[in-house]
Amino acid sequence: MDKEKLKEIFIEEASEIIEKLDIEIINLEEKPDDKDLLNELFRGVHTLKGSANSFGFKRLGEFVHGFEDVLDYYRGGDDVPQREHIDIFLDAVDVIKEVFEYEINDTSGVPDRYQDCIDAFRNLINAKKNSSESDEVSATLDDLDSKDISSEFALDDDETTKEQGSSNVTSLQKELLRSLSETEILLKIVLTLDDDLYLRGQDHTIFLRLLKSEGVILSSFWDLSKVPPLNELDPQKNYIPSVEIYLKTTKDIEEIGEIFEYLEDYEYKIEEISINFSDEEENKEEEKVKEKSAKEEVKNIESQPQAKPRKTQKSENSQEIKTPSASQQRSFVKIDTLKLDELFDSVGELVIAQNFLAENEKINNIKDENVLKTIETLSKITRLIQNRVMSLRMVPIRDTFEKMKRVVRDSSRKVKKEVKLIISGEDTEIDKTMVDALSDPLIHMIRNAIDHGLEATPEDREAKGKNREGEVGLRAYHKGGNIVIEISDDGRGINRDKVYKKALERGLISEDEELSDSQVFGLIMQAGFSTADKISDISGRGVGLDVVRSSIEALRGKVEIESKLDKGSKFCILLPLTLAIIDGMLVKSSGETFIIPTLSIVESFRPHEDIVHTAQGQGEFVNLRDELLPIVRLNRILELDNNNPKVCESTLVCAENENGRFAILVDELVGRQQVVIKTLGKTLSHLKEVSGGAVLGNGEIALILNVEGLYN
Amino acid sequence: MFNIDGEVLNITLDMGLDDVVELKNFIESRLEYIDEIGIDGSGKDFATSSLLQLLISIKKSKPEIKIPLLEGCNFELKEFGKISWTEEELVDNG
Amino acid sequence: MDEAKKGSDIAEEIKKELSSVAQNRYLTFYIEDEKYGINIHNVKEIIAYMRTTKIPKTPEYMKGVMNLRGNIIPVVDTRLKFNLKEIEPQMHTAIVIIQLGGVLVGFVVDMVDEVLSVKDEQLSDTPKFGSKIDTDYIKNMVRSEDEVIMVLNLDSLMSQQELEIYDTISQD
Repeated sequence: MDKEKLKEIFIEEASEIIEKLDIEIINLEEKPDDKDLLNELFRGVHTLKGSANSFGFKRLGEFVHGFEDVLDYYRGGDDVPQREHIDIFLDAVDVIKEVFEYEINDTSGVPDRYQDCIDAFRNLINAKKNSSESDEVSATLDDLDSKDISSEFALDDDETTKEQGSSNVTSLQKELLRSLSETEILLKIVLTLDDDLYLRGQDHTIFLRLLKSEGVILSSFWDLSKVPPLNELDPQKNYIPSVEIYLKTTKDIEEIGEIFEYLEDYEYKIEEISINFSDEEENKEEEKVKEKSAKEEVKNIESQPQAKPRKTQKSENSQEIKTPSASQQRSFVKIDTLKLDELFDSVGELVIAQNFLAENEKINNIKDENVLKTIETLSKITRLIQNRVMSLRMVPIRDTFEKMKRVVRDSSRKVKKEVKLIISGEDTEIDKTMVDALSDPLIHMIRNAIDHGLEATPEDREAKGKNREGEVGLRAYHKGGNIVIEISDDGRGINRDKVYKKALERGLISEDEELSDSQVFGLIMQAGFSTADKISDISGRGVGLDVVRSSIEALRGKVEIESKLDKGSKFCILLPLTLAIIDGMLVKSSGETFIIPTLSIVESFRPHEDIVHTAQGQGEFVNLRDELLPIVRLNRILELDNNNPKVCESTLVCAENENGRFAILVDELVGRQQVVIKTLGKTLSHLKEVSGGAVLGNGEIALILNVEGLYN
Repeated sequence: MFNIDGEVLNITLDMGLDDVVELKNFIESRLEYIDEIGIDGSGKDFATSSLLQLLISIKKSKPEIKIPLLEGCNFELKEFGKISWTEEELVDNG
Repeated sequence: MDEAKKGSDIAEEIKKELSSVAQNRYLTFYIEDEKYGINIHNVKEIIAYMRTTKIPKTPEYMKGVMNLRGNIIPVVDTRLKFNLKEIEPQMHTAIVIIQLGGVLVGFVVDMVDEVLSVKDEQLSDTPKFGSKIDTDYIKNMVRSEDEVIMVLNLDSLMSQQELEIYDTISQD
């Protein structure tokens, strides 16, 4: 692994931690006395600090350090963070996000609020210290030292045999010990680093330098016995199995230990070298060497809440987490999504090949039970593989939902409304690529629900007999082959008449158009319906909702709106299970096969002659249960040929897009099938009628129709 | 990073890993012509321990080569203190 | 299957040629009765003719798209591109997959012939007349024994604009 790769991993891990911080802080606000939560938050911050420092991201490291101190204070005592403290925490996360960007982009300087935030940390801690001077929380170094010694005695009692080997202090160590002043301790650090050290971007010298900043390196001993002769030497490999370093420092052992956070457990060892001077003469210089192992570390944490854990992110230390969440107990492997995509492509090919076999007439004519059975088994296994590979791309929508908590908190404060967010169905799984793309539209819709959906003031709500606190709901569930995400509010609802009037004014609809409620509500998501400023007069929906709509459509999804005046509104986002596969209806027109996404299909039927009408200059219509649907001849709109097959001898596929329902005229229906989507490319998007291609069982390509582009 | 002056190769301690790789390749083919390796810019510290092991390796391959820095199994560095080493296995007495 | 076999044989040969970095080797093929050549560097592979899917609202010579081992690539009917008359695919009809920039494009040809080594002195400028097709498409001529081979100018064969379209077709 090279340095760049390591940096990439760091960035990824750090981003994950930072993302989680927001969520954890919001959760902490709900349950401020939940120490587990606080510990988890602390661990994240702590890990972030360690990795930032080891990558030389000083600005980030320093800032996070300050934040860590604050969190550490709360971990240590009974004090719980108040709302204003949560505000500081959240501000801190914002700054962390910014500094992180600065660091990875190598931008100089610090974000605006960097120093303010650090000052806030300091003030917070100082204020707390002053208010509880007698508390032992602000333990001085001396206090810590005395505690360390007492625990050391306790350890010696039951681990004397183990410790015996280490209770010899060499004359060198003695000599070094004499150079200590009263507040200083002598640490012996043994680095036993793996041979891929350099490839991991690490170096002994990095640790020496870090140690140097924490104290004075007195001496170091290098085992160079394993260095091979020149012709066998690989300079990128570490041949130094052990380096012993003596450090004089005023810091305690835990703090020094943090330097090595990024190393494996077996790669380093820190001991404090000490002499019991009072016993020196009598006991022939009985010396004690204290060793800190990971296990003792845990004991320390339990007995001394203010001691900092050294490697809290490591699994073997999980004892200290009293109730580890389910997700932590499962083990995960990180896979490059590119590799997943490749795997997915190959599986797509496999499915095609398998289809080819299954549909091959010659094979089907083989009257051999074994052959047919094998083909069937193959088909089953193929589907199984396909499903499993699909599921690899799926992640619960939980994280995305949790992120919305912060959005709700921020926006509700901004508009001074009381809002409760109710989340459900957060375990619903969704395509990973969709998760990222969903975040922005969801934020937008949540803000919209709070800004415009809910009543202007809590008093307004009371006047209507509602709770002061508005409710915003976020819900995910499966429906048919789709995933539905609902954003609901119990606010004012959309005023249908006002929307209708406005749409007329804006020329989006004409007076003689008959529109259903949902069609009218749909208008608010149309580009050109509203300009950002003057919208709050119509139950204030529509600010930039056209952007939301287009991003959902880019995910091959659609938005449906329900609303009742004074009861509230509900925006349903319907999404396909995955972006890679689409459930489609295969149709034929002019000899070519096309695929219509089933998501857009309402129904299909062969019309009776009686219900087909031709309106002068306006084309053909079909009367479906008293609804007049315009007929779109596929062969004509795609300019395949100029044929004019009789409507009643063709099949009509009733589809729905933002402009309403219409009937696509095709020669025949072939069947419904799941197909793997292949994009044709951006420049072909001038072909608004086609959204992609799919390889069929016979190896040929069928074009996937874009229902939005077929009729307007 | 390094320059050769007759039979004396002069290097600086602050070279990075890539330079060490380069230096190794440079020396490997010319080892028989090099009699001495000197250090330029005293007071600088090692940027990578790979250089230390390279120097030791050179000494191992050609014991008669003069590397003043390595004489006496220890040297004092400004920031890293006294660096001592053993070419025998280090006994961990901790 | 004959033509497919021949195609794969030639593809094998092309691979060998490619490994020996041949600047002046040309894949030759027939369109109508004329013999054309393409620098072998640009040839990715040759496959037997297969059905393509027409893309609506594209120029007539855009034969459509085809499935090349899971990738969708565009196919040009070279006859139509050269303003020759379209014919039904014959036994020897093949698709030559050519790399243009970073883009793969298939060209339908009547028959693939051979891989030809050409010395510089065999090359000559394009005559202003006497060719059935637009001379802009021709880079230079090769005289080989009694034959004349027209080396296609791939740059002019596909305009930049067209290439951009194909670029995005095969990339996404």
